[in-house]
Amino acid sequence: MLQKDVKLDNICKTWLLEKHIDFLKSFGKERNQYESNMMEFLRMSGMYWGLTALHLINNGQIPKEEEIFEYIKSCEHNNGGYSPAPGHDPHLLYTLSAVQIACLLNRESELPIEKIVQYVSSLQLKDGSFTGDKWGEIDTRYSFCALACLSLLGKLNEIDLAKSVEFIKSCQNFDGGFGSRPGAESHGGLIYCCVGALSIAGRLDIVDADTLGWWLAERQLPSGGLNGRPEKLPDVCYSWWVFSTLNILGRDHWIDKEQLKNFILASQDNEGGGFSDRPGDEPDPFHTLFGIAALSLMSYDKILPIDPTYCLPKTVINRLGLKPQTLSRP
Amino acid sequence: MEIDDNFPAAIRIVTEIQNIVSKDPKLKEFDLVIQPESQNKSPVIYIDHCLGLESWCVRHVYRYVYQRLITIRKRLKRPVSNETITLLTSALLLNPEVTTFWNMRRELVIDEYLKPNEELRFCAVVLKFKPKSAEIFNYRRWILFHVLKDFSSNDVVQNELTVGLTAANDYPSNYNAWNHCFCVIQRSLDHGNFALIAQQWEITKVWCCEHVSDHSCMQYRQRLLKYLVTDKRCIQHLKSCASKLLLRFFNSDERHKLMRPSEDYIGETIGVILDELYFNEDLIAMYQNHESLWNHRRFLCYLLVNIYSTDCIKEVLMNNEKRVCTNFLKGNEMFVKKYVLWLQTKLCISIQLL
Repeated sequence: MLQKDVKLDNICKTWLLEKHIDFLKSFGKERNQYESNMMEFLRMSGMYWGLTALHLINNGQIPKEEEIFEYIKSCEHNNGGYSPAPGHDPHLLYTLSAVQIACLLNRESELPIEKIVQYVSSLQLKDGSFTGDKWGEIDTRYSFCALACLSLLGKLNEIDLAKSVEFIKSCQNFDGGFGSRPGAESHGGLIYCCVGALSIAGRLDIVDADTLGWWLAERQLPSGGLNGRPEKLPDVCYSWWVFSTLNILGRDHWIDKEQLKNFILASQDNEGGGFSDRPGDEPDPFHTLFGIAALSLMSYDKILPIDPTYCLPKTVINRLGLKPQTLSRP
Repeated sequence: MEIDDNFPAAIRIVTEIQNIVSKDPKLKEFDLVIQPESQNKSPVIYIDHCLGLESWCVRHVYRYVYQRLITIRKRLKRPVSNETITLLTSALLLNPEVTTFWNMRRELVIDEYLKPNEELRFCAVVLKFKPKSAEIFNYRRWILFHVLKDFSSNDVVQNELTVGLTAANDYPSNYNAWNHCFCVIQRSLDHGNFALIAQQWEITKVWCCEHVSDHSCMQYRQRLLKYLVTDKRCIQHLKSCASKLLLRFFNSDERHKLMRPSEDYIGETIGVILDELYFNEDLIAMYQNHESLWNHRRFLCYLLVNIYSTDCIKEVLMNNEKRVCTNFLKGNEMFVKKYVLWLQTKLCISIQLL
């Protein structure tokens, strides 16, 4: 059959816990200057991915907490936004990452909350959508960033929530999925953003859970891996975007979990630890978090439980007193 | 931050690149040329309006431009110099994902150090290197919608759609490229350019035949189709295909039930959907097992049922889809079975496979 997929024969699927811990602890250290320069434009998010993954598999332990908090402070801007690294411009993506890291460190109350709220709410447009920064690009990703960021700070009431929901609803397609803007193709990552935002807003009634669940379940390929759109290759990150959404919708049993687990484990790097997008590729913190987070949703090994809406450890979400909406199984 | 002094050639290299970018309005592409070691000559290659950089020097050049630019960005006062532009050009050719560097160019456009039209040319070259980069499309849209703002010129619109389609050609299921095209279409419609939908409808039909696994292209056609069936000003530019297809799809009794003489437009809209349904069938016949084709077919049935909410359309569809599913079961078994289940569950059209 012609289907685009990968073969998992003869690939080691042993869980490499210690190697992943080493990979996450040392990431950034051994890289050469060129590689770290190339990736610095998303460093704040890189830290969130790495620290969350480490927290989940290292029994909640994160080293050098003070240094990390100092780093966040060094990326703070006068307008209330955060940049990925010093010298870069602030953006909603990295503002969320900064808040997520602070929550992980139990230090979110030390952030300039009022300024962050002001920054985030200044990015909402009349139609309820959010731009990523002052230059005006709209995307449903940013709706998720805004809602997640503010709710983590207990300030969800500072934006027009009804309008935010209305905009997300306008991005819904006939197949039950969501895209980046009204009319845009359904996309696994953006579906997570939209459903996640609706879960935070407590408005999952907007979602046609059966139709969307159907589409999401069809993302599973014979290898067990999930893709993000029809006829694309499977990718470990969709193990999170697609599978966490199925969890939020109470339809996690609509895919074959053993098969998915198998695909994720086959995407580990046997030598240095970490996960890549699919078997045989270079590992990175992004795919490492989403591989581990998906395994957490399947209660694998001793990985700590993760919240499917926020992609943060359940203990953190509970401590903050947040109760993102989920649907029960049909 | 320490500036890399180990590679004094960096300044010469980035200046050479900047000169080519600014002096050649016909520059087509940029790419890396695999060359593990220095050949004791300039690593910049420029042939036939194509620009290349030998791979051995990329890490040194990027490290230099990156560190210089971040130093400049950290200064509170930012005197503009040609150096900044030169550094940005190389930095963005090598790593177009860096939003901050595009923002620096945005500021230079606002202050009129960079010309919007030249910027559109520059980022078309960057797109040839990284055809799916969201940041490049964002920058283009910013130039188009916030700086130029003028959509009356058909040349601007056509150029934009060509750039989008080129990127779609260079990277399969290019989400950002197809969305970019659609954004341009929406803006043009605001300016009354209704002929554009029909034109894109024709162009992407050919494109689809050559890219049957590109679901993004088919989904783009779904967006065009929605305009065609809901806005008379759009469909009037389409070569009519209604009458023959209607005869093929409905028997005389069914036609009578669906159509009344006063409903010419309905006849046209149903014609364009049917045309797509038959086109999709032709592709399914030629190319087995393509999820994109079967998903597109779901949309077409969904649209028909939702536009003509009569039992009659479901009956006609049931007969037609039974024929299609039976004919193509062999070779498409999984997709046919899922399709049948989908029609049953979502549209209440039940098909008994023979």
